Amino acid sequence: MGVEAPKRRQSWLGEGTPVADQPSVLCRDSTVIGDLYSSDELHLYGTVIGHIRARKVTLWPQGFVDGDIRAEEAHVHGHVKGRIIARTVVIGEGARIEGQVFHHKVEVAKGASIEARFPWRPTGYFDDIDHCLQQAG
Amino acid sequence: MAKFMRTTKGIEETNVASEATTTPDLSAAQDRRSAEQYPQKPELSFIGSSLKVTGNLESDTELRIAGKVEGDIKGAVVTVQEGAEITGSVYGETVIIEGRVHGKIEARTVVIGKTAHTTGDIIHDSLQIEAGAYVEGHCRPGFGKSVSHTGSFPRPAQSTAQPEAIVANKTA
Repeated sequence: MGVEAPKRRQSWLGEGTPVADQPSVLCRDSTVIGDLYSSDELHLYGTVIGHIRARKVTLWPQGFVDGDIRAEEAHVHGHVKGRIIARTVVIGEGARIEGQVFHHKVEVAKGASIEARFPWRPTGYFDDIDHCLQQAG
Repeated sequence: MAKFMRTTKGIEETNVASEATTTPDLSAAQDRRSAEQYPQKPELSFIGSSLKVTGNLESDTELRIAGKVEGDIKGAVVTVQEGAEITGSVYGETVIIEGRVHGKIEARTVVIGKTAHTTGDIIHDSLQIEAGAYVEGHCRPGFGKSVSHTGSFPRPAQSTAQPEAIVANKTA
């Protein structure tokens, strides 16, 4: 019996490695203290203390954001303490919102707990989100 | 006959009406689909290539990074994929590097793949470096013995600019 050459794995990352351009996920045990910028989708189950800018943000139940969310589309099922600035805002049951929701279209499910103002803005207002962000630093 | 016609027309109308009521559910269906894609309790956090994090990132479980991080990272298992760029320290039980890291790496087990590019000290208990990796820095054992990273990250100072003011200006 000859000595078998050690098997080399293709990647240390192993199988089931997410492809790099898959949507980003922050799981329940994760915390970000700082800002998140994404040109794509973002799924949050964990905690973010800071601002978020993405094309689409989905905050799932038990997720928590202390800061602003700027997105084309925001789906909120968790807890937000801060501003949401999005053309389309969908607030699910079980969501908790404290702050302001700048929107063009909004949907709020029965059962959501809301302590917020809902200022409506024309759709053009949201073309400038990035500009707002640059000014905000 | 005429009566029959009328009834069929009525049925058609109700069909149309039911279709009209079902169309708004499309977005809900899309929502459900993305919920299936990501079950209620995902096992790991994934920073995709389109995501940039400025600040500290902390997880009790697994972290996979394919995007950019400017700040410190702490997790049980931290995997820095090829194409990822990290400016800051990486702490963990197990750290696997296949991307670029500019900063200190501190872990019990450190694995550096052939596509890795690291500049900074590596503090480890067990270290593996594949041929082809770029490693610049001092590698030494003694994970957890020196002034190690313990506890949570301190909360950084609040960002100086207040976006509230900008929103107010825009509305004015």
